[in-house]
Amino acid sequence: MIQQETMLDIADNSGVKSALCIKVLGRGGSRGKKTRPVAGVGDIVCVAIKKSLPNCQLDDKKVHKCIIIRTKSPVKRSDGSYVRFDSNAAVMIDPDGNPIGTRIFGAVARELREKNHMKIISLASEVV
Amino acid sequence: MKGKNIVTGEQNTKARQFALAVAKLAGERNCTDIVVMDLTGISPATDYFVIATGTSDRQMRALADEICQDAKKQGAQRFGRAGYEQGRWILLDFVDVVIHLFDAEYRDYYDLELLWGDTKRLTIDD
Repeated sequence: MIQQETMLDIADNSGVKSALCIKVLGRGGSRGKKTRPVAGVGDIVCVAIKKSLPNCQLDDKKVHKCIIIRTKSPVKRSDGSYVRFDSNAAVMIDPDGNPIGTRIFGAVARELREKNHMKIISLASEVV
Repeated sequence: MKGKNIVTGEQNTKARQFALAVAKLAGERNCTDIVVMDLTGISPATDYFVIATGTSDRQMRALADEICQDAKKQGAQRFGRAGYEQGRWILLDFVDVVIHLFDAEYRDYYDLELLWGDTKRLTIDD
């Protein structure tokens, strides 16, 4: 459950290390007084870069987009099993939806395929 | 268990034939650097990658459409498609076979052959 102000680890070699979620895209807004839009695996969020390597080509003064690949909150599958990870992680993407990095670190969730993010799975070495 | 292995073997053979047929079609449509990778047992996501370099976005879109039509005739169901509008990296997902159509720049940039370098490569004659 990724929402505004959530810190995300960036799990690719784009040069970005961590980013702050500033908006969850594709949601219609809050549903009531005490709810907020939340993102899960395969959702696109807007982020602000907080930590990056010196040779990172992305401008940390600009807003970028990410796809969530791992969440700490469990994802339920149709067979009744759950999958959860130790941290929240995302992958930077360009405005066309292509990953900016060329390699993805760690395991990615299988749910990305159902949300049409097979490009990210192709770059990942492990799919859970 | 024995029955399950037989079904898996048949599915793998069909996927292999489909991958090789797609590679042959890509070659006939002026694609270059066509590679078929066997990821059976290596990747849990798919069994075969077909990677090709196209000459233009229009050509890649036309080839993608033709692959989808041929697959439909053979009864293969397309699970997903990505990058079709931009035409720089078109991905066609047929579950057991994933087809990547790159332009020259993106092919060098992502370099999937380096990432999956330890896989067996198939030729069209296989």
